[in-house]
Amino acid sequence: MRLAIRLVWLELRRSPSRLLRSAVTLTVLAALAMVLVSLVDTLDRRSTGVLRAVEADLVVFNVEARQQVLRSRVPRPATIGVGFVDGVHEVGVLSVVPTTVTHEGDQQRAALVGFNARTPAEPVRVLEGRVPTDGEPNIAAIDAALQRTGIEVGDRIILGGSLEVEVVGVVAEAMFLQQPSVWVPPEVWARTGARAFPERGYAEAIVGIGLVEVQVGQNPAEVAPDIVAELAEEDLDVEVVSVREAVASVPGVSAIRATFGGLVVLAIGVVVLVSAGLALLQVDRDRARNAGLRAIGAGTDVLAGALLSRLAVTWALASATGALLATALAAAVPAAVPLAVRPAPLALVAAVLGVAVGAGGAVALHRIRKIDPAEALGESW
Amino acid sequence: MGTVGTLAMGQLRRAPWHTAAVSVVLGMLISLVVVFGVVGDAQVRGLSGALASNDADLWVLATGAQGALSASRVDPELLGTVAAIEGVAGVEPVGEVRVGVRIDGGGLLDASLWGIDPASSAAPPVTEGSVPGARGEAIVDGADRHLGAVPGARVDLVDVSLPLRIVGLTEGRRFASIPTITIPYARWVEVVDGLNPDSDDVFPTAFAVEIDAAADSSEVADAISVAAPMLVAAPPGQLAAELPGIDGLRSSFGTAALVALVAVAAVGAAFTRLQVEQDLRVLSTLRAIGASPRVLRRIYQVRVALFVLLGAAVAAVLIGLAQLLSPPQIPITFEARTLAAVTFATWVAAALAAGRGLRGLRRLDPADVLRAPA
Amino acid sequence: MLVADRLHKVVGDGALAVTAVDEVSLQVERGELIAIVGPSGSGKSTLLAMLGALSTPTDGTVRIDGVDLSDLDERGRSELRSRRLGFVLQRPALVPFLTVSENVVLAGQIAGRPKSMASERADQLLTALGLEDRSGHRPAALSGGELQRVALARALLNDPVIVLADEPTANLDAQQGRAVVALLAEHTRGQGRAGVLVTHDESVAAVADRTLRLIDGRLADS
Repeated sequence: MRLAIRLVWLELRRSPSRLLRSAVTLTVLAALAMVLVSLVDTLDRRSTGVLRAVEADLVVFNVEARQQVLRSRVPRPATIGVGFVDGVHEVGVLSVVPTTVTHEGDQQRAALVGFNARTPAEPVRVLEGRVPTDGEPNIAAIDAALQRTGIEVGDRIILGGSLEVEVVGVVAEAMFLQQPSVWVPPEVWARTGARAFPERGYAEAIVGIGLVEVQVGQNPAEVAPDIVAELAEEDLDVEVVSVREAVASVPGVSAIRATFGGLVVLAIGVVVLVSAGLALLQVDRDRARNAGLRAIGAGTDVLAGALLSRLAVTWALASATGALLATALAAAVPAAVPLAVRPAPLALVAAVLGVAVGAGGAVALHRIRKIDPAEALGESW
Repeated sequence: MGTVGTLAMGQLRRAPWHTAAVSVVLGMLISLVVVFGVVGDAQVRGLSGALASNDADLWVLATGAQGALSASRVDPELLGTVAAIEGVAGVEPVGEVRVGVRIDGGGLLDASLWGIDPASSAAPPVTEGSVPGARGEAIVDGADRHLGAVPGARVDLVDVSLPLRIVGLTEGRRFASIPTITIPYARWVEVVDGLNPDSDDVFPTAFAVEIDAAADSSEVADAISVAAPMLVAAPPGQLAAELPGIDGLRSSFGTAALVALVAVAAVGAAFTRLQVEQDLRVLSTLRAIGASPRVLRRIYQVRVALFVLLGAAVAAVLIGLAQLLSPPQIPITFEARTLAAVTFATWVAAALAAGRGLRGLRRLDPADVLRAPA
Repeated sequence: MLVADRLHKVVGDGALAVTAVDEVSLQVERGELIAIVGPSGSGKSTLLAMLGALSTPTDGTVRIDGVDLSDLDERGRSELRSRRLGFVLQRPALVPFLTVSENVVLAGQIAGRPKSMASERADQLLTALGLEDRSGHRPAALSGGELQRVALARALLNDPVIVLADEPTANLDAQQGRAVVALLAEHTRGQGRAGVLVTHDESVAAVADRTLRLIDGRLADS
């Protein structure tokens, strides 16, 4: 194997174009797969960021809401009752309503999030300043996406066209249904919602969803039925699901995952075929030379090792350059395009590409094994 | 078939597996580009079709809603104000609300319930069945047939005791990518009232405005905003394009299609280049017996064209399969014109990119054929 | 040293089967260079492939230093080729991105020899073959005669007991061809190795100790 690696290293140093040509092709495909996965990831995160921003084990919806955060209405006293269920450590409430944010005359859409501070409903990552606590109706925290539009800590913004608040903090990006978010105490949510949607019955005694953190060592799936039973005793039909399920129920998320998921699978299929095709063409191109090497005693292991090393180098170059291209594209496109790259999805794509290239290489390996050393004799072509 | 065609075809026949592999790869990439476009359009239509495709000249929303239909509430008393504006031929209230439904006794689903009078310019055209008239009659989008939404089927609203019966179907009029039901506006008011028993008023979501043939729609839109500053008017297509999420979705699919198109070009070029290297001895011989670099280049240009055509054929098969197998909520339609456009773009891109690989042919020395291979 | 007994080779299947080599027996001793001549298609290369453990006979045996090649598996045959045999091919099959010296050393590395030893031996051989000035060049910069001399150096690197040459002059002019064959003879016969030279050129065969004539897969005379 050392000999094979050395041969590929020398080839890369002295005839880089031979290797780089394949690498460029795979790079474009890697970039395609990485852009696709990043688009899904970004669309997904920008639809569900509010639920991802908190650290809870379970989400409590009223049954009629059918797991929709915007529609869920739970009486506030009922959420207090959840705190007494065995296995529950803490409960918070979180409510969302679409609103507008006006800053220095510019108006934009946003998701207004009412939440209880110092509960599982508090956003975990505060980047700057602080988040408002209950009883602070005239201050708000914004998420990083809203900050990118030019709003800073200390600025005053108008919510829903009439309520002026001061921005006291910035939390990590937590978008909801592609809108940036503003985090306020629950009563501000109720007031803003009542003004925007008078028919929907917003009130301070009503909250959106309950967020539950279970005690250490407790299984959330076992605590959930107890919460349902506890609230049923208070004539309240609720549905208790994991945060993961609640995220999947956000409108559009399953469609995005299904659509792009299928397209990513198709793209990976293309990568397998392309890498197999490239590897086969390389084997064919070098067939005479490989037959000669086999004639002078090089075993299949040397030739196969060289092919695999070449594919590994190609994969590494393609993955690294593809990631750079995807990152550059994400930086170049307008902010409206939901394309933000994160290391984890890129690494996942690189790993899947590795498997795809390996699968493609396996086809070529079969061909290498079949190279007959006797081909080295006779006419040249 | 001339010399160029004979040689190009001969090389394709000599390596059928290679030809098949390259064609399949190009076909998959072409189908990927086409599918991005088709699925992107379908997604956008599913999200905004009910708003985008209707005969109203202008839609009027609440200014504060920032173009989000779900956040728009317009004061019904302003109906008269809008109707009185010069150039306005007619104005009708339109309502939209999310409801829980069971279609034909099936599972609980979210649906978008629209209230539009059948005579309104915003009313969706009925493509099958009849226009809703009597109490409880509704039309639905044909894309939801798989859910049992066909004429004659019953639709139960979960929180309101107003059973609906489907009497007609429309096409391409879905909203928010969920089943979309349209009933007359007066019935819609009843439903919203039933959903919010504690609320006194029901506000329409928007007004649909028809303007005089001689009037200028942008001038009328401006006049509406002047007469009622809390209202904003725009053509339905523009409002649909500005719905939350539409821009992001459109640009996502656009970006993905663009990158896929670049991938097609790169793959076409790389395979051609490798093929040139593999055929170098044969090409030397052709040069030695008098073939000009131009002829050699044309051989490869014909080959690229053949590969792309074969790829297009593979793509047509793949898209046809996708059309058969795609779920109803993500309809993939076979659009020959789109396929032709993408194939042409692929050919141009691949030919241009492959041209670079073929530049080496000009430097090919006919004397190479006399030289021993290393 | 090299003994072939009743070698028989059929290529192709069914109706397309052709007998390429038929009942060929031969023996090559240490210090002897034999030539196998015959017209194109007479089975010369097929016979050489069997003698050089590149392919297996349909029938018959090949022994090298008493080892029956049919007892070796694929790996064993590869080892035999790299350590005990040296090949000079019509197409030298040099690696284009390696220098002349590295191409010669490569044969040593394939045989598992330490690189330093292989390099030292490669330098000696390249000097002996008049290629010391070309050792840092890539194959693309060499003439046909030089390429064949590199191939000869590579063939000799592991001190093989038998050198097998397949049409080594086919791509060379007469002068270069004579020079290469002379070197081949010098480095086989002159150093106690056995040599087998396949050629269609009678003047090239003249350098050998014996000439075997192959016609339609059978030995005509010796």
